Amino acid sequence: MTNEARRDFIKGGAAGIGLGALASMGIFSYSPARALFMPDEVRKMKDFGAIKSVEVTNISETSWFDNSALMGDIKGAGGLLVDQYLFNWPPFGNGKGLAKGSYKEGMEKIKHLLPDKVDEAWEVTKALSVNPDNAGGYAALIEIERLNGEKKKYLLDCGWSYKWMHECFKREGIDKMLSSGEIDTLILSHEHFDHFWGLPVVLKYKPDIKIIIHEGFYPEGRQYIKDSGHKGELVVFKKGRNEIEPGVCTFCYDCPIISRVFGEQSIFVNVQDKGLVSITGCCHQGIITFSDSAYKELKYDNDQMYGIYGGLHISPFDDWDPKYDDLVIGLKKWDYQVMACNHCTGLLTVQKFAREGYPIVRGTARFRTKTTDYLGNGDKVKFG
Amino acid sequence: METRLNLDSEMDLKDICPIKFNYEFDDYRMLMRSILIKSLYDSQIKALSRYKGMHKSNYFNECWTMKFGFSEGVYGLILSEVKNGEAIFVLYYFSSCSENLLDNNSLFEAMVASKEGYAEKIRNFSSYKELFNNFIIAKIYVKVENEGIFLSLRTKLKDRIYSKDGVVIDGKQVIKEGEIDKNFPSFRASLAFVNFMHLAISGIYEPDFNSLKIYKKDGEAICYSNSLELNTKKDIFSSEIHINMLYGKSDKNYLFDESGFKILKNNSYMYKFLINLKKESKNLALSTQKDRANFFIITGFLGSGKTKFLQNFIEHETAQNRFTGVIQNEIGKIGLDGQLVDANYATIEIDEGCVCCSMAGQIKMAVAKLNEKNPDTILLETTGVANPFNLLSELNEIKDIVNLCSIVTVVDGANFLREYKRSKIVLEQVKAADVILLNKIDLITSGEKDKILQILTKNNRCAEIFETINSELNPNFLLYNQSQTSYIASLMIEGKIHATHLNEGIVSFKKDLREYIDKERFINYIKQLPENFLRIKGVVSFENDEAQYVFQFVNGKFDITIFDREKRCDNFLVFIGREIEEDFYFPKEFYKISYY
Repeated sequence: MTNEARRDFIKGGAAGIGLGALASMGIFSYSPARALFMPDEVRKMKDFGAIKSVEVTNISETSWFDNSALMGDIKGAGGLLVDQYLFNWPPFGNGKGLAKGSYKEGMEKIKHLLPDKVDEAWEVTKALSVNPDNAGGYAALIEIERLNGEKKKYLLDCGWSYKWMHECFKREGIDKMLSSGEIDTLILSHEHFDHFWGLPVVLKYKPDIKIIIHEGFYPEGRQYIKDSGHKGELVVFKKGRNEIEPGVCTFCYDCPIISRVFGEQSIFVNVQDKGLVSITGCCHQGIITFSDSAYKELKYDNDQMYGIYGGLHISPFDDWDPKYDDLVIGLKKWDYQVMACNHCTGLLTVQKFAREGYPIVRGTARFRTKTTDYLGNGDKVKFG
Repeated sequence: METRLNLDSEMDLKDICPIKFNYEFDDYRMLMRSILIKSLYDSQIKALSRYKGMHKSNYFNECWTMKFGFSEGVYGLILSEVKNGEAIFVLYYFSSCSENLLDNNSLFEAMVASKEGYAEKIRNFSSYKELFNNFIIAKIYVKVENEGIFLSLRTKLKDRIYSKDGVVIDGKQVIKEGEIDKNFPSFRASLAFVNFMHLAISGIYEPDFNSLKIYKKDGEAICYSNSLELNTKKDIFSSEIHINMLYGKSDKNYLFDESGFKILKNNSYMYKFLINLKKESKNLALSTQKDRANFFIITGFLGSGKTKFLQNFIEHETAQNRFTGVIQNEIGKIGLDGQLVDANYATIEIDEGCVCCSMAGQIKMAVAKLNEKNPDTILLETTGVANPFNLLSELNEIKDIVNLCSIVTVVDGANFLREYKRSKIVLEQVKAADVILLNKIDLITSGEKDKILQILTKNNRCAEIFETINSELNPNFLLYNQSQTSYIASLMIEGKIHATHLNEGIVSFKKDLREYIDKERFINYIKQLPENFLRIKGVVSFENDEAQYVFQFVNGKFDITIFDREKRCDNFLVFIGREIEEDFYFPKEFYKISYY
C-alpha cells in the first residue's frame, strides 16, 4: 500500500474505527509485552487542618519601579540566566559597573552597618550600584485567625531596597510588630533580589526572627542571612509539603528561576467552609503546576480552590500553540472565587483576567502602585 | 561582557541546581525539567536549536512536550526509570496530522493521530496508553558523574514493522500480506532533540565537550501476525544507532557495553547530520548570532485592530520575560493609543505627521533610542493610512541594527469589502504583508470571509494568513519565522512609488473640547455623520458626570469606555476622514453649558 493510499484511507472515514478493534486484528500496538511501566499516582489529599480566616496585607508589591530599566540591566549583563549576585545591583554594589559585581566585594562595604544602620548602609551601596533607585520590593503580612479565635502573624518575604522597605514597614506598622514579637516568623518564597535582599530591615527590628527558606538557596543567599545579622533559627524546607501550623503549610517546588535562582515555596491555607487559599511570592513554578500540586496533594474544604494572593508569574513555559492559553484555559478549571494577584502577574495579565471574567480584587492605587486594577501597596484582602 | 559564572572545564551541577544530587528518580526528573526550562530563558539556545517551547504536564506522571522549528510534530519526553544511578528517558515524536511523516507511522499510530482530541491528548501523553506505548523514537540515557555528564541516544535508523498476514479493514486490504506497516525515520527525527540537548548542556554548563561517538549495529525489524505473535527479521534499515556524548570528565569512556557495535569513523555521513554538535561549530554559530532586536512593522487600515494586536503582543512577551519596544506613529497630533496602552515596555511616539510621508530618518533615530534599552523586539505601529511600501527605503537604513522580521498587516474583516475598493492603501497594505491577520472574523459570515480570503490571496500569494478575533495571535508565530526578510528585500528592489494618503484626500484634524459636552446630542451627531468619516477618537467628558471617557469611532460604529487613569488629560477628539472639512464638523450644541 502506498503512502498516499494510507492517508486517503484515513481521510476516508477510518477515524470512525475503534482503536480496540484494530488491536484485536493483530495490529502491533500497545500490547502488554510492549507497555512501559509507570508507577500509578493518585490524589493524596493530605488533611492539614483548617483555620477560620486569613487576611493578607500588601506591604509592597512593587519590586522595581521601571521595568525597562530592569530588563535593560538583565539584557546588558548577558541575559536571564546570569547570576543575580553578579549584576552589581544594590546592596551588593562594588562600584565596578553592570555585570561586574560580586557578593563578597559588595558585602564588605556594608557588613559593618548591618542590621542596625540600614539607612546608612543603603546610602553606601547606592553610590556603588547599578540603578539603585529602581529597587523596590515584595513583602506581605499574613494574619491567620485560628479556629479558637487566636490570631497569628507571618511575614512573607522582605523586599529589596532597604530604603523603600523601611518606608513600607513603617507605613504598615511592621516595624512595631517585629519589635514586639507579634511577628516571629519570616517565610521566604525564594532567593530573588526583590523578595529577599531587604532582609536587614527585618533584622533591624527582630534579629532573632525565625526564617524559613527553600533548600534551593545558594551559598551566597545563606551567607547573606548570616551577614545581615541573623541570630535566630534558620529552617530549611525540602521539596513538597512542609507544615507551619494546623491549616497552614508551605509547598516547595524545585524549578529553576531566572537570574540563577532555584526553587520557590508557596503558602497554602485551608479556610474552614470556604476552601483553599494560596499565597505566593512569584509562583515561578507556574500557576498551573501550583494549582495541580494542591489538587494532587492536599485536602481542603469543599474541594474548592477558594482564593489566591500574590504574584502569578503566569508560566515560565513558552507556549507554541495559541489554542492553549495556559492563563485562561488552565485557570478556569480551578474556579477560584477571589483573586488578589499583583506583582509579577503584570498589569496586562491582570487586565486580561478581568476581561475573561475572573474575580479580580481591585485596589486603591496608593503608595506608588500605578493602577486600581489590582490589589496595590497598602491594600488588604480577607479570605473567609 | 561576562555572561556566565562558570567558565572552567569542570562541571558544576550547581549552575542548574544547588540541591544535592542523589542520583534518584526525582533528581533526574528535576535535572531534565531544569534543562528544559532554563533553555527557554536563553535566546541563543532557543535560536540555534529552534526550540519553540515546552509544556509540562502534571497528570499524574510528569511528562514534557516540546516543539522544534524543524518539523510540525510534537516531541514528548518522560523519565521512565533510574537504574544504578543512570536515568533512562523515553523520547516520542507525535507526528502532526498534516505532515507527510505521518505516512511513515504505523497504521495504528496514524489512526490514533486522526482521532479527535489528539492534539490535546498529546500534552498529557503519559495518561493515554495508546500514546504512551506508541510513537516512541528513542531512549535517552543520562548519567551524572562527579565532574561530568554522559548523554546517550539510542535509536534505530528506521523503526520498521511488518504485517505478516496483512491488514483488512471493512473488507479493504489496507496492508498487503508481508508488507511494511511502519517505516519511521527515528534517527532523523531524534536529531532535533539531540541537537537541543547538546546546545542546552553546553549553554548552561559551558563544559568541555569531550567526546562524540556514534555507534552502529545491525538491527532487526519486527513482524506481527494475526495471532498476536511477534517475530523479528534482519533488515538493513533497522540498524541500531547509538550516539554517545561526554561533557566534562569521567573515569569511563563510554556509558554502555560496546560489544557488537562498530564505531563509525569521523568522516561518516552520520557525523554530518550532527555537525552542530561539534563545539567549534557551536561557538562559531554563537558568535555570528547577533543580539539584535527583532523588528516588525504593523500596518492595517484605521480601526482594524493594530493597537489590540500590539497589546496582545506585549502582554505575551512580558509574561515570557521578554521586553518589547514600540514605535508609534499617529496621524493626529496626539498619540492617544500610546496613552491607552499602559504596560511594561518602552514607547517612542513619532507624532509629527504620518510615518509613510515624512518620516525620513526618524525611524532610525527611534530604533537607536529604543536599542539603548535592549528590547528583544521592536514593533513599529504605523498609522492606519500609511502605505508600508514607502517605508521600505527606511528599512534599508536600519537593517544593520535590527533583525528585520516581517510586515504584519491587520485586515479589518468587518469593513474590508467596503474599504478595499475605495482606498488603494488597503490593498497596498495587503500586498506588502508577510503576515496577514484577518481580524474581526466574529463579525462576518463565512461567505464574506471566503470572499475576503480570495481577495487577500489574489493580492498576496506569499503571506501567511491568520484568522483572528480581537487580533489574538501568539507572537511565537511571528518571532520564530524569520525567513521573510528576503521577501522584504525583494520588495525594496522594485522601488515603485506607491499611493500615499494625501493622494486619496484623507485628512485629519484635532479638536480641543471644553469640559462637559452633552452626551445625547453628541451621540446623535455621531450617528448622523456621513460615510467619509473613517475614524474619530479622543477623550471626552459629559455633563453631570465626573468621569472621562475614551471615544472610538470606526466606520459608523462607535464605542464609549471609561478612561481609567488617575491623571486627567485635556479633552479632545481627532477626526480622520476622506475630504472632511475642519470647521463644519464641530457643532456648538455640544456645549450646553455655554448657553447658560
